[in-house]
This record gives sequence, C-alpha cells and structure tokens, in this order.
Amino acid sequence: MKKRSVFFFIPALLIYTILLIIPIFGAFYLSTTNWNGISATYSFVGLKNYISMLSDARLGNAIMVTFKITGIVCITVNVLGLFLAICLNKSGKMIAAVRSIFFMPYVLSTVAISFIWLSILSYTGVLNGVLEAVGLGSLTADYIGNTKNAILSICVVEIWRTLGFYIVIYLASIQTVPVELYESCKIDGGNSWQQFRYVTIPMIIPGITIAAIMSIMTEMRQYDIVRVLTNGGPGYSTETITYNIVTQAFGNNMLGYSSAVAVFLFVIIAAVAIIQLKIANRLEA
Amino acid sequence: MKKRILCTLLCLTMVAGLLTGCSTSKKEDTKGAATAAAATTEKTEGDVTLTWAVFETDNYTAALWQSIIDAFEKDNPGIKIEKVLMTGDSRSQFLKTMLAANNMPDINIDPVDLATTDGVYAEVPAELLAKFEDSAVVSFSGKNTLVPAYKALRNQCYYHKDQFAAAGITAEPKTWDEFIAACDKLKAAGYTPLMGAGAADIWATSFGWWTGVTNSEIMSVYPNFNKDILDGTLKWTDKVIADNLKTWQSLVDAGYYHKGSMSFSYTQAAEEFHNGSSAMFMDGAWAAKTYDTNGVTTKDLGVFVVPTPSGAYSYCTMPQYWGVSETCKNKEAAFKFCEYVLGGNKDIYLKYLQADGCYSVTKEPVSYDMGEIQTEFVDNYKDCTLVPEIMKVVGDTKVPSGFEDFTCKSLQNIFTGANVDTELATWDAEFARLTAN
Repeated sequence: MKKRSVFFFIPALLIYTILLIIPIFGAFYLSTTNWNGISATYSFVGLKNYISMLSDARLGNAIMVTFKITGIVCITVNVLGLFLAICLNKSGKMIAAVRSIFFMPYVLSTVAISFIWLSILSYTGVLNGVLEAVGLGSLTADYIGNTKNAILSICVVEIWRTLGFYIVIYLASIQTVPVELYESCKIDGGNSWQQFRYVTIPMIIPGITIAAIMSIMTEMRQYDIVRVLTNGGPGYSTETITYNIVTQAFGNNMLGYSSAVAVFLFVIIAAVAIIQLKIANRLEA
Repeated sequence: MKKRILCTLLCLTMVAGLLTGCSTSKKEDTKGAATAAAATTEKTEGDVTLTWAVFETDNYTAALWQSIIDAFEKDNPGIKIEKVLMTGDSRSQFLKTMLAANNMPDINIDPVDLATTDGVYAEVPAELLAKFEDSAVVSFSGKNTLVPAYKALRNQCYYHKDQFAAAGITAEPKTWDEFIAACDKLKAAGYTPLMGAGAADIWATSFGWWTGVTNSEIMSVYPNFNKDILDGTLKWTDKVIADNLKTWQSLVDAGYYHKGSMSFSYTQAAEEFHNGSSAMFMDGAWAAKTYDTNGVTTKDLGVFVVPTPSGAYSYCTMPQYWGVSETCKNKEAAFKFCEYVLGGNKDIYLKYLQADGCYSVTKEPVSYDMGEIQTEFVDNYKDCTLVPEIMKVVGDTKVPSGFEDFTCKSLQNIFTGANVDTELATWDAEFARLTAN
C-alpha cells in the first residue's frame, strides 16, 4: 500500500522539480559564471561574483535598506496585527465587516495600490492637500522625493497592504485557544493582561512563528512597491536587495552577478528562518 | 523532530522560490531561441504573423500603432502584425526579459541596448540601409543590425510668458548670467523658477540639465568624448563635468527648483508646469508637439535653448532604430514591414514622425507642417552646432548597458545634495565594472 501511494505524489514531484528545483540549481550554477543574460557564450568565474559583492557599495546600501524596511514592517504588522486580532476576536455583523475592510488591501494588486499611494504621497498629492486644507500646512513634506521620508513611505504602504493578512493569521491562532484555559486563569485570579501573557501568548506561539517568518520573507523580497513608488530613489536610497538583483540582471546585463546576489539573499533568509524556528521551538517547549 | 524538519524545509522552499527568477532552464544559442512562442508563426502557407514590440505615450497612442498595422496589412495581404506592448519605463529591460524568456518579439522599437550583443538582431539587407542617410547607419563590430527610424531633437527650456512678464523679464535669457538673473527675478516675484522631476522616472531628473547643458559643455571641450572615455584617456571625474554638475546643484541649493520636484513623475512635473506651478521646465522636443496639439500657442508659452555656464552652444539629437530579431522566422516579411513604415509608405512614415515631433532619416527627406511651438523650437537651433549625445551614441563607442541608468540615479543623489566629486568617483568605478562585463 505504501509503495503504491508513492505514485500519487510523483506527478507533483516532477512538476515541482522541473519548475523549482532545477531552476534553483541553475541559479546557483549561474552565480559562478559571467553570463550577461543575452549572449550564447559565458565563462566559469568561480567565486569572483561573490568576492565582487564584498566591495559593492550599492549592494551594501540595498542590504541596509532591506533590513530597515524588514525591521520596521515586521515589528509593526506583527504587534499591530496581534492587537487588532484581539480587538476583532468577537462576533457580530460589524466585526465581520471590519475584518473584511482590513483584509481588502491584501487582495488588491500591489502595483495598483502603489499608484494610488503615489498620488496620495506626492508633494502636491492628497495628503499634503488635506494638511493644507485643515490649516496644518506647516506639516506638509516631501514623502517620496526626500531620502529620509521615502523609506518610511514605503513602510507605511507595505504595512497598510499586509496588515489584514497578519490579523487573519493571529485571529485564527487566537480562536484555537481553548476557552477553558481562560476560565482557569480567571478562577486563579488572573486579570486581562495576565490572561494575555500566560494563556494567549504561549498558545499562539506557532501562529506568531508563521506570521513572523512570513513577514520577514515578504519584506526581504520587497520589490514592487519600491519599483512603482520610488524606483529605488531618490538615487539609490530606497533600493532593496531584490531591486538590485533585477537591475544587475536586466539593466546591467550581469546575470551571473545578480544570481550571486540572489543566492546571498537566499542564505540570509534561510538563516533568519532557521534561527526563528529554533527560538519558537524553545518557547513552545 | 520530523515536524521541525518539515517546517524548516517548507520555509527554505518558500525563499528558494526567489532564486528561480534568476536562473534559466536551458542555455542555448540566442539563435536557437527560434522556438519562441511569440516568434513568427506560419499559420497557413502564405499567411505570416509577425510580432511588433511598441510602447505607448501621450503621442504614440494605441490608435496610431493600429492605424499603421491596418495600413500595412491592407497593402500586404498575407502578413499579419500583432502588437506587443512594452510596459514599464525601461524598454531595453522589457526586451531583455522577453529575450531571456525566449519570447522575443520579431520587430523591436528601441533595440540599441541589445544590439551590442552579437546574434540578437538580424543583419539588415544592404538595399534597405541604402535608403537612409549615411550618418544614420550604425554598426556593431562591423555588423549593421539596426534599421534607422528617425532622429529626435532633445530638449529646451519652456517658459510661461505671463510669469516672465510679471517678474519683469523682457527677453529670453541668452547667457548664463541672464538665466540666473531671470531665476532671481522670478523668485523675487513669488514664482518658482524651475520645475524638476524624479520619483520613479529616474531619467526625468537629469534629462533637462544633463542632456541640454552638461552634454553641450562636455562636447565643446572633448569632441571625441565617448572614444576618450572608453579608451581611458578621460575620466568621469573630469573638472568640466564636476564643475558643471556643481553649478546644477547650486541651482537646487538656491531654491530655484520646485520643492516637490523629486516626488513628481515626469507626467506630474509636466502637468504641474503646465498649470503654472513653475515658470520654466527643461523638457523634451516631444512636449512642443504635445502643446501644439493641445492648442497652446506662442502667445502663452515660449521656448529657448538653455544657456550654459561656459557659453558652449550646441544641441544633440537622439537617433531611434528598429531591429528584427534573429529568432524571427520570416525576416524578409519583417524587413518588408520596417521598410513600409520607415519611408516606404510616405504617409505612414509622416504619421509616425509627426506623432512625436521627430525628423526623417531617409535619403529622400519627409517633412511636415509643424505647429507654432515646434517651429520655434526648431528655429532656436539655427545657429547651434549639432553634437552627439554622450549617453545615446550608438555603435562601437556606446556606453555600456546600465550605465545611463546608473548616472541618472547618481544625478538624483546630486540633486538631493550628495557630494559631486564623490558621486563622480562612483561613475568611474561603475563604468570600469560595466565595461569589463
């Protein structure tokens, strides 16, 4: 019976291998070549691309920008997502409507919402217009064209876009916590904070782990909002690692080098995911 | 334990998905990519379908492309043209992506970046090239793979006449000092002298200044700049370039540019200028055509060649080319289409040129009646010297792929206050890196 069941997953395994595993190994291989992505010939360059990365200041900046965006967005969506999930963990028609409203941005096209935000955040956009209209003209700012504000603007758009998704994850986790545990806590004299700290949090560790890992992975691969909102600018100030990969591959015709950067990103994300899983496992134990 | 391993594997698989985008399942000769899905398909004998990569703007509309396709198909039964829209602001990146996906359209507009690689585009028949001006024909390592399409004048400074009048400016600035004096008068009168652009349109930040002013100054001192920079005789950190860009930065520091410049896309900036948010905007020749089409007259809007700090007085044109992909199965039909649109049918060529205010490159010139602003734009160049545009030179002295985009980003840095010398040092490093690639 066991042997026969193997045949059921062979088609899926084949598709998965052709579409994912082989290209992944292809990327690893390309990272050791100087292929420009166009010509028929290329040479094996060993670790040269990886060594070049060490002195690439633009890539270094992209790594820092990616970490900044990841840090700000991940912390915000997880903390705010958990808080809002607790607030929305009630029944009622209005609650269902509010949950849908929070989730709506997540199902919209990222490119489309980026264009909408572009019209809101540009210097003569909606936000500055509203501030002027309510007499707060002194607070108007250049949210996209100013280096310092541009990263924050990207974070705000990304938080707005993904928050609903993390609310859903936390809501689902919270709803799996047995009511009896809260009742026991109450009987033992636990207040709301203690119920949250000693019942909710330990019981939703798997949910927190998933939400944290997913948010880190999503933000480490941030591209589309950056591409539409700032195109990595002003200058290189909002370039992310993925933006750098695309630029190197299709702008500079350095597909071998861009593959090396992609492999580097893979290693970073994998390392973060493994560390996070280990911490989560310890907390669960 | 098993669960932990499974969970780890799943996580790694998710991140691994990213890598798949940077790989290729097969490495074959670019010529071998003829199996491309979008390559020419012969549906039935005598019925050929060609794919044609185009882009759309306010001037190059879907209706214009369709009218060209309709006319060609009517005159050439048996050949069908399918339009492929090049999306995004980088047409070369779009085409590279299509090439990487073995999905290269048969006929490409703006193929210069890819033409540097041997085997991407087919050699153009000599009898077709013979129809174009000799100066428009270019080669890469001795091969003629590009069909000349047109030449476009680059940019000048458009200005609102009412704002100039209100600020007490009675004549268009002819010298650098007059230009600065005009900026000061406008500022003193409460107007924003200059509009800039940035945001996602990285080209738009530097377009006006770099193409209109810096290019003139560099070419007046180094007439063979591209050759000199490629063979290492010159560096990007050269004093002429550095001083010019410092002057540009001083305009920003003096508050002449609109405060929101870097947050405006090109379209937004053009609209802001049109609405009077600034008195001047260094914009492209295509804008003259757009203003004429929209009924703006020289009574309201003027245009002048931006004076340079050194007094250099020149202009440049950008050549446009078409290319037929080497993967195209029916190159004869593809070149027939190129010939038809680019001069073979004069009405169609005229329509194509007129749409964006461009000029013919055929030996037998094709001209059209221009509107008021476009006429003024062209007349302004009467005493100017024509020089090559450094970043748009086509052929063996072309700057490496990706370098122009790099400089555009660096110019954004300079616009926002970065040290000019430090930025230019990065140009030398990047130029060396990309040239060695």
